Amino acid sequence: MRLALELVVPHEWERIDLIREAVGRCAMAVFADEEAKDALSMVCSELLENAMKYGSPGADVTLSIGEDADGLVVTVSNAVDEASRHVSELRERIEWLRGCADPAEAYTQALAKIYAQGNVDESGLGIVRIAYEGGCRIECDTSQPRRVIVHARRPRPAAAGARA
Amino acid sequence: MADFRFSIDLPVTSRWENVDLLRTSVQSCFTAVFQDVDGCHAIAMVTGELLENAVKYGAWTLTPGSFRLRVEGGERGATITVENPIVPDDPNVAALIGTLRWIGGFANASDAYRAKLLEIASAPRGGSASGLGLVRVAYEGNCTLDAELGERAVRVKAVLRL
Repeated sequence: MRLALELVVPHEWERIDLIREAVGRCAMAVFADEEAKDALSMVCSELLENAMKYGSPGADVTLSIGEDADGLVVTVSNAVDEASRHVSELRERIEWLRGCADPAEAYTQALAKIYAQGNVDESGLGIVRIAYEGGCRIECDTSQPRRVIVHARRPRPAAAGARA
Repeated sequence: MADFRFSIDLPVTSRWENVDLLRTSVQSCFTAVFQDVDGCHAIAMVTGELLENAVKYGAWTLTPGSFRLRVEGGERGATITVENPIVPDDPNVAALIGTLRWIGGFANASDAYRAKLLEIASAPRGGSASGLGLVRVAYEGNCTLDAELGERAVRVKAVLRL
């Protein structure tokens, strides 16, 4: 049996904490796995923060969690302004991640860069956390005009029933 | 105006702790999407009652494992469906159908609620299941209740109007 969750929410920061809590509790109920709960909560939170930070104000944001043959997929879709630099910077960030030997190395490099520059806000650390701490492969779909869709994929944890 | 909504479809193991995890999760989802305090309490109560029934009355000895929770919510209401395994001639299913018919026999859910409270108050203590949970869903949750019977599962659906 597969899980599916979808929320269409307004572009408002205060929604993120509630969603993180909701996702964490769903993950615990399905997987009974603290690591999966923490990872899914963090991934959703980071992707939603990016959507709120860089998305078009006033447009809705969609979060979905589902499964495919490779495992769990967290997807966040949001509108972006035409002049936004976010899409190209996000693509560059994902390309850079893929060029790193592993997510741990990317994480270390990202932290070193923040330390050197003293700027966390535009560091792109969220995407690196998703890859390293969340164990996710990240893809970005910008095929629709003025919309960015980010997928974060990770292996499915064993369901609680399967372990019992 | 954007069509804000949410949907949840989860396989859940039959553990009591999952009732509270999912009740509060559904409540948080509803609040995150709609910021509707009254609605979030109603949907949480309905979800909790249906999940409790699934854990309590599902045929877990013969078919251990998972049941299924589905919730779809919009601005005007929500549909909460819980599906759990049953066995042939399951007495819990007969009781469920009996309770739904009993509720349906009243002019409104408020009358059913009052009658159920009187029935519980006059019954000897420590008796069998009261059926109050489903009556709460109908009255306090303002829900229409329905049950679909399959060969190996029963699906209880509550349609909540906000």
